[in-house]
Amino acid sequence: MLFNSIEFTVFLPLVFMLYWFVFNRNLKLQNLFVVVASYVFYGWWDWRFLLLIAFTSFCSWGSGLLVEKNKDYPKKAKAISAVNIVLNLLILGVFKYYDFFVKEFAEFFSISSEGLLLNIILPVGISFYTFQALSYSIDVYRGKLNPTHDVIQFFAFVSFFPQLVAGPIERATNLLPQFGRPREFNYDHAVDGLRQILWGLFKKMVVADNCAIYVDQVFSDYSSQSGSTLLLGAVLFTFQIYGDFSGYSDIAIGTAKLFGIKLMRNFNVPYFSRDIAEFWRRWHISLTTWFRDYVYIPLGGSRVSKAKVVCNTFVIFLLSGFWHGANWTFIVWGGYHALLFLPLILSGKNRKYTGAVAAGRKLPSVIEMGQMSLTFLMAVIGWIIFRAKTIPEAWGYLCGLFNKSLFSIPWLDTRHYYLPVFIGIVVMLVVEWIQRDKEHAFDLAGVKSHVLKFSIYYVMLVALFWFGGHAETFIYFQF
Amino acid sequence: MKKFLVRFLVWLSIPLVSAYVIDYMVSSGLRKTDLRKYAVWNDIYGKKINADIVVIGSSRAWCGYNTFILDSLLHCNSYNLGVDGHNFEMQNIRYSTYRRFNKRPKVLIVNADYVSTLGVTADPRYEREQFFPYIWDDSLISAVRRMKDISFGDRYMPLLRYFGYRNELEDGISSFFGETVFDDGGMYKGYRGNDYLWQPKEQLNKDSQIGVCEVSDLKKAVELGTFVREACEEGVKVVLVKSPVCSSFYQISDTHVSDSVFEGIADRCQVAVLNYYMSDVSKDSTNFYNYTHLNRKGSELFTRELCHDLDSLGVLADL
Repeated sequence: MLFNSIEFTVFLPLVFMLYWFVFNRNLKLQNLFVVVASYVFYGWWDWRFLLLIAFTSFCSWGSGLLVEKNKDYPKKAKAISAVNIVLNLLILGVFKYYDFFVKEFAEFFSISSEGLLLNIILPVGISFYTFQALSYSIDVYRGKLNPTHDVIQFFAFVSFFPQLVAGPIERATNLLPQFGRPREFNYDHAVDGLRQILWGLFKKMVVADNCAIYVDQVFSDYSSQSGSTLLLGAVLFTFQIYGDFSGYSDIAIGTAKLFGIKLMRNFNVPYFSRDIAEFWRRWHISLTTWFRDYVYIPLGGSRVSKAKVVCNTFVIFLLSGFWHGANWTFIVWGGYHALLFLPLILSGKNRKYTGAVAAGRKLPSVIEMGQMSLTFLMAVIGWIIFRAKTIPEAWGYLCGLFNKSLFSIPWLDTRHYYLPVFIGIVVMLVVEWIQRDKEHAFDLAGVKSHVLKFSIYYVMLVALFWFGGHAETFIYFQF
Repeated sequence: MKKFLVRFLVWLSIPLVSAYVIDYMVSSGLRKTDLRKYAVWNDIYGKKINADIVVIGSSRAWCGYNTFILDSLLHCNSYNLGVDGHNFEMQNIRYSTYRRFNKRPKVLIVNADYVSTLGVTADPRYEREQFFPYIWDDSLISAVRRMKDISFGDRYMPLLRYFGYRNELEDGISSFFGETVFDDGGMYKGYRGNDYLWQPKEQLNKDSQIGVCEVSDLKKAVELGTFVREACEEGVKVVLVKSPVCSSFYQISDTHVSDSVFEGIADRCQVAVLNYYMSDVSKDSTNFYNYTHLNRKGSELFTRELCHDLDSLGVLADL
């Protein structure tokens, strides 16, 4: 079920009340309830895939126990861990990438792929929960985490509904222990969670869904649009994907707070980044750190020869791109960002900007504005490749953008969604700028006036209703 | 926890009460407007119609049968219940609702065309907002609920159904506060003459495909036959009318299935069929704004001819 749906509006309060009033006396029961509620949430889309997530969870949990049992036999432990990793990746590969590889293979050898394709529906969230389960088994193997003997606790960790289908991809070291100890209701955290949910809904429904109306039209007919229209479409997609994905993350994190669970931050105002390295420290943090910790560092990271650093960087970005979907556009998108990242890492300047931009100041300097604008532009170009259905389409879009019609007036149709788009983007940027050093943009704990706070909440609610576009699924559900 | 729940409920109560109030204002306002989507329903529920001659059909009916001319030439009270973008199922729902609040007509003109017997219209959710102000009418909403995807939340949660329909919210509130809200061109007893520009290519592809693909739904045909039979048993004089289509459309499309359906119904129920497919109105493309819909000029010419033919048939004897 979607977060911005009537079903979820009924589901969430019901689960909340049962969680705190009926099942709170017994931790195991409460965890079991979390599993049941999460499986209902996930099964709402398609109950058939419940078996898959259960299987993945069971395999990873089982591998943790077997690794512990064989801790005196390192080779055996390694083999068990490797088998679990391969099994999980195989499942992910079959559901997500099999048809892609078959089609590419068939095209390369000029044979028909008919009869070879599986045409399987991609289970929602498979990329997220698979990586989440893998992080557990790898951390257990590395000795960073003791395996849990409580299967319910583990299932709750993998399937916890707020972050099940689109992240954040949680680490077992953070989330699993939280299911191993009693949760206390905390008023301030719960209120903060509601605020974060409200903010996430604003970004999704007012910004992302309204941008989508224009973006879909431009991308579906890009060949007949002017350069300025293509630029506007690309910029709006940049805000759409941010509003959509970070909005979902905010709703997930805020919802988790209602249940006394703390999830990791997934976005840290990425469009205020001063270079591409900083962008990647602020965008989809859970995925980038996952690849850093489980792929990049084991390959040697940046403590190897320059040639190996180049190779590792490309591996990470190409894998990260490929993780998003079975399409060459995602791989090229990853490669594009690798090319942008390389100069910084080779010159050792990839960690130049680690603090908040314009820290202690109200406004950025001219240089910082220039840096943010350039980084933003680089991101926009990347998103064009990401959004396009094929490489020729991406190329066609970029060629259409960079010609003299770039300086013409962009096409605007007669519908009235421009106001919510414009207001939504401006409000989002201003609020996120002002609150850039806070845990999330709608952290109003510092606002003392109840009248002011309540007024803000009501204005947001009215904005959601008045400006909210027609309900669209979250973009990252397709990954 | 108690503090959290109490404060949350107190906080929620204000938007909830506001939602009920705004819902009432918007729905009441829309029930007073003359907008095409609502005007006919407003007249139906207002029990204002009580017509002697009623026309039912799709958009081809509401822009083709000029009720002003029907009233003037036939000296009667006519009403056009044509409903845009829907097949017989919705046409029947509209007529049934009409009958619940208005008296039985003496003459029922059924615009008999391929649209009535179509399996599905382009988008089942098309103009679902026309039912929002009447959400309290269980009979109507039960009939359209599945077709128009009207959920439990839409019916019982205030304002939810208007989410995403900003125009409806604005028009409803304006109308509630006394502003007159209407479409350009206006409506007269369900009829609206159109002065749209001719756009042949797009419409040709759309409408000719409908005829050529033979998507007629036999279930609709059975429903239509039952409908006509029951109307006749009630003492209503039914006339099936094949209103004009641009003759170049008729030449390339294939409507023989729907044609045979209507002829079959006419035979079984002993009702008259008036066929204008090959009339002079059809032969002149300046009477249309696309291949299947009459413009204002064409509707006036067609309605005059229809009045003459109805008179000749003798169906107007009781008026």
